[in-house]
Amino acid sequence: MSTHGHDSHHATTTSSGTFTRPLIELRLRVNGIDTVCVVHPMARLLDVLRESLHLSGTKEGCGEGECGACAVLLNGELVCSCLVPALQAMGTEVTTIEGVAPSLATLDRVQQAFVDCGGAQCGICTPGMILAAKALLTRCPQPTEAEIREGLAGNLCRCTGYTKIFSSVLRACQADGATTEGGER
Amino acid sequence: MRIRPQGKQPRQAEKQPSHSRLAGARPQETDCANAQLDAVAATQALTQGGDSAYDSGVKIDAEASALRAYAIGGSPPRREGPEKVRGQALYVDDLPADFYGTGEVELVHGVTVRSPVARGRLRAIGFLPGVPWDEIVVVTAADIPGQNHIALLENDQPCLVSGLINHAEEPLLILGHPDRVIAERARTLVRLEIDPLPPQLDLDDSLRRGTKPDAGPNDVIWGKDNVFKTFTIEKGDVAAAWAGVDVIVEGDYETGAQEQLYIEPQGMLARVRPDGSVEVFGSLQCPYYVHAALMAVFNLPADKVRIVQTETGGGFGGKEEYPSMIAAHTALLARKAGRPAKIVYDRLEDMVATTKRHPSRTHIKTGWRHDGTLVVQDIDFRLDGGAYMTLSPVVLSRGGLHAAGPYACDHVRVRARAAATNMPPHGAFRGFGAPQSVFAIERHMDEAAAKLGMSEIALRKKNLVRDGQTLSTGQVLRERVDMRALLDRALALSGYEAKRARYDEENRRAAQGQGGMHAQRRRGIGVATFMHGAGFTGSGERYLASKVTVDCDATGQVHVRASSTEIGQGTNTIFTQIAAEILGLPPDAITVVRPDTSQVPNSGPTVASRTVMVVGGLVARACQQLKTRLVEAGQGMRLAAAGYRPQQFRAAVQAYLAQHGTLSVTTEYEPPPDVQWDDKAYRGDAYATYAWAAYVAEVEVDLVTYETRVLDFVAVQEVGKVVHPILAAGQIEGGVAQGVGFALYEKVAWREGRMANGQMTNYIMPTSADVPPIRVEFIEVENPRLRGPGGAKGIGELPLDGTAPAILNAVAQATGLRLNQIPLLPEDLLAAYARAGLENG
Amino acid sequence: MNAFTWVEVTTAEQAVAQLSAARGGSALLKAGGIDVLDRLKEGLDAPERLIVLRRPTAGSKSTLSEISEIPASRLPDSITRLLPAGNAGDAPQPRDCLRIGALVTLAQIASHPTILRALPALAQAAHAIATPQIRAVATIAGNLLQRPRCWYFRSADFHCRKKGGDECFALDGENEYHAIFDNRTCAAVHPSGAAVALLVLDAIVEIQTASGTRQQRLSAFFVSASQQGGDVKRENRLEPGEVITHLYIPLPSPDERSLYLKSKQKQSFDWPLCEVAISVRRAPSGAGSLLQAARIVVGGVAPIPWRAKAAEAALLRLSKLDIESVRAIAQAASDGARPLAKNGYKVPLCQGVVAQAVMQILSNA
Repeated sequence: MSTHGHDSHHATTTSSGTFTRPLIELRLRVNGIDTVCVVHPMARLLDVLRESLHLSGTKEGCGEGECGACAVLLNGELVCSCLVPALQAMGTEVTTIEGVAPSLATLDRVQQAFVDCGGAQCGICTPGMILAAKALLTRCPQPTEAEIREGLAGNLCRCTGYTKIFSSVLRACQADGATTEGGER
Repeated sequence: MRIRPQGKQPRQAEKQPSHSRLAGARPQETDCANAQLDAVAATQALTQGGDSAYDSGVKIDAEASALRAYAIGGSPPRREGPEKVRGQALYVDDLPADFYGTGEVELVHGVTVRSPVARGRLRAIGFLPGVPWDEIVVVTAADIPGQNHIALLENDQPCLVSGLINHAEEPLLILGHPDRVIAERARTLVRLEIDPLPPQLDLDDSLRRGTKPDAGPNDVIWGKDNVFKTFTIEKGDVAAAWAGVDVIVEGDYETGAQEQLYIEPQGMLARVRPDGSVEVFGSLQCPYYVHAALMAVFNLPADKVRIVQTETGGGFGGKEEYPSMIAAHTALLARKAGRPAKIVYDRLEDMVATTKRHPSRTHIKTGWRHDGTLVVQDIDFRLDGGAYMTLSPVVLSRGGLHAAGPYACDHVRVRARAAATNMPPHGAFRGFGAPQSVFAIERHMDEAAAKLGMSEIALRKKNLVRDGQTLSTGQVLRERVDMRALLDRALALSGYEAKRARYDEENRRAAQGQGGMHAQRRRGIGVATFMHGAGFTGSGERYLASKVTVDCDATGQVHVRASSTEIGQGTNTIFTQIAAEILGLPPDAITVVRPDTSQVPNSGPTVASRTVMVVGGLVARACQQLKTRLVEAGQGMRLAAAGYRPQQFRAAVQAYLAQHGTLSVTTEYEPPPDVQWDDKAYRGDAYATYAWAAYVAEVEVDLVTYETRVLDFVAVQEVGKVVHPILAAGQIEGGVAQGVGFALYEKVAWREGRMANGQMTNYIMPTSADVPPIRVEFIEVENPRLRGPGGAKGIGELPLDGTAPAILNAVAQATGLRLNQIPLLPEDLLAAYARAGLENG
Repeated sequence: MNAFTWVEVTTAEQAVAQLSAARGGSALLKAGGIDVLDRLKEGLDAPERLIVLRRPTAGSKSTLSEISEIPASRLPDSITRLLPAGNAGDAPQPRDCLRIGALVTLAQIASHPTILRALPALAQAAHAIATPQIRAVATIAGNLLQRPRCWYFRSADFHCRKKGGDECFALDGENEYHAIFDNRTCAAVHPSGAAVALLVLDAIVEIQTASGTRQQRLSAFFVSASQQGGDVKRENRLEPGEVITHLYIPLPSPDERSLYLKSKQKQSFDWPLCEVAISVRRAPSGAGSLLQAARIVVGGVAPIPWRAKAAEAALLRLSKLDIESVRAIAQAASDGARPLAKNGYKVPLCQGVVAQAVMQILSNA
């Protein structure tokens, strides 16, 4: 059992009206890199990523777990980072959109498929959508269209009508087949 | 289909994508890397071929170059696609605090204090203890150096309320603090003293009270009669025409407010430079609207205001007017704080405070001959404009001009009115009035068919307009129009006739209890035929006089400069295609400059499905002139041969620059001489051209849960030349999904003029599990008269018009009910059944 | 959001100790945090201490995040005595049970092979909740204990009875999503979809108290205003300082079936307008009626998951499946409903989902 800091973590309103927000040290592994940052204990993982770690690829669409724009992988599980308090992320492994591409020069097969098939329009839902697609394909490498619809149902997109997103995910599966045959991945 | 192995992309390794386009100042360095990525991806796209049915019109040549992919009619990858899929595209909330490079790292975060009441007088503002008020910057109307209004058509909307509150959520003051949490807390500690006044919350009530003889100060809330705009379209002799009809059909139709629900909430970043000039960066569709608004609020000349569009996460019209308000607030806060300021709305604030689609009511009375000939249409179209004018008159125009539908009718009257109420101002939303009036006329056509005992298809075919005939304004259709072919294609793709007959039979049997386990399911299939005017209404384009500049720098790089924004619809990619095709260059030789009022001329707002047709046309003409200028200046040797190489073009540019100093062409919109419009009489060519379409929806209604599911959707349209088939199909699919929401899910719950369901949990938009399979088909018609690049017309708004009526026509078949109000949620359908039950017995 | 101290624990005993240590101040327990964080953000709760019950680390003996089958022979007496008797008057017999830890996520439940096979109503209910992202985090106990979604309750602007006020604003307000049963004191509907399924499955809840553990039937766990003298400040019989540890669900015999249905406005992630879970046990052939046991629970219609007893009785009398009988059962499902001004549609909706559930389960039974 651990308690994080008692009094020192209270944000307080003093009689003179001063409002302060003390901080804690958060350790987690982000995109394969051990990271330490100093944050407000109830900061959302989303804020930690965006503000402390400058990983602004994770987006905030609604702040209440509805739209999925803030989706990241937490210990491999797809979660809404706007619903995860920083302290809950202590010691976890987080993958954000910035950690998806294998290198600065190449895109992941899902990312490439979104570019090729018109799966991204305005792009704001795209990072979360790609992570949801990654999570889906890990769980279910050759999904049917029904499984894709269900797997992405927590990620809202207002531009595409989802159709080109479905074809992007299907294309990514095909790409996987091809590269496996070629033994490149 | 061949799949190219992923590893073999040597050129991508050269450089990582850069984001310097945002800065705008060094455009020549900007897009090379992206363009390289894109070129590789384009080559890939070519060698892979398209796998979607919609690519079928694109001839794929495995040996073709990237150049070919960027030709008009190809489907090259989105130019900023790689940045977007990597999460590297920078939206306003992503800009780092030291974005300006001035060392001003600490921003002030702004929050907006809003009115809790729909109407009242603000008497006093108090500040309760709980936050360090001495650290908090407070901006009120008194801090506005220029005009306290948001410049648009009428300048009636204040930037910050100074006395009279006219709608709930109206901005009263801005609070700023470097710590967003403290700013947010401060907002809850502001005490407002407001004397409430009785609000007007219903559009018809407002119209009635505004014009009654003894109207008092609580009756008239805007102008002299609560009317923002009214006009009447008249054709033939409506009064006399009733004498010659056999059947009269009458109906009332209603549509609700709809939130644009772009996934990126609105936001702005601003700073005031030492010389007093103002710079704003943010999420917006129309840089020069914001520019004009800030000139007025700050009382500054044009060159002292700079507006830059950041990557924009969807707009759909929602980022047309309201960004001016947020930009003004943010800049006022920056001015008072003496450092950069940022205001980014959260979802709730964005939902409750910003504009929505105008709610509408339409009454239609039509006269018919027994054989189905449409003799006369009398239409009364009303919009709720909300508390301020914003763009309501223009929305009303488009709605009224589409109200009679794509039908040939000799006697037409359309009376249109936009009323002021104390609702938050309604504003632009994809379709701009047309989805409202098209819903009414397309539902009405089905009701007329039922009353005449004809099929809804036969009735439409009998009356659909043809080239040479006239629309309601007397506009003669000089372009080729073949609505019947579109309709036939949509019917064939959807299997309409067979399904319509089968569902009639199945529904009849089910109603008699013969459906067994599925006795509670009803199915229906419905159609809508419609048009959408491309570009600005009437003389709008003439007044706008849009400009585009294309210039070349010393490296030979071509810069396309326009204020038309990329908001997901593909502006960057399409302008690249147009320039690449005309200049015969690869895409990486072309930079589409980020809209920045210090860098680009005013090519008009990014609205009205005008970007490709009007602005794209200007880009094409500028590129053509640029090429001509090079040739005429003696560079023809290098450029005469078709298919010159980029190096030859570059050399020609450098030679020209050595001689003349600069190479820059600006083109300005030239109204086609044969397009004539009379603003006063609403007569003439309302739009230079129209997109035409026939949509079919298939639905299933569950009579246990009253849920309606759209099972299948077919969208067939003629939009002129399709410049980019994948982007174009994406526009249609996205628009259909929004139309499904408009019809079946998206309902604003108003409580005393406030939106009560301003969250994504209780305002429901379609998810991936809700959208039907959407089959999109473009039919290209040879139309030498079209002026867009390669003959392209507008496309973006079209799908919003026909989707909802096609769905409701299908639900009407499934249920046998008269359903003339949207959105139609399960509880609404249940209530309709209850009403029908009462009426029948 | 107010300021508070964050305390992490990994066992129910620690959680109880921390909760009671907060005597004099306030403490709130959080697991997945889906509802708790919402409430903190909305200012509905302002605890001084947030007690965070974390999933046990690998190697720990804790069963809080496990799903396991407990054979009848190893079932504790404390659970056995609460099992439903085979026939009225019989003493309860030990049965094989499924034990679900309080920290098990909805995603785990929705995909667990035993639950999918033997307890389909629960798998279907868990799957129908929210989105994949939420289900990956939300725990079963958190789902049972979440506070109602009534927009007056959730809004800081309304001091309603649930918050200690003296008015239910929904009664004369925007009540289209509110209760049609037992709604005169507080019209908020119970938000848990999992509870609806667990109730028809006769689940037993195990609770850690300061002095040990206690067990009770879930059917006696949820309470409405009329069941606690008009007090609507809580929705269940979990006392302050107590923590749910496990659920025990008797595994059905081969002649038992269950299913769950939900009516909502869109396909993904929506709160139900109305939901129903049903379980039945077939009667041996030759018996006068089709069924020897039936249970129907309707959600989204009352301040608690609503047992449709009249419909159950009608269902038990059923001797053959025909439209008329199903219609009668459905009618009975809304016995006692008193809709408010804007939620009258829920009466036929409730009848409709019950009819659909009855038809589906009988045609597959």
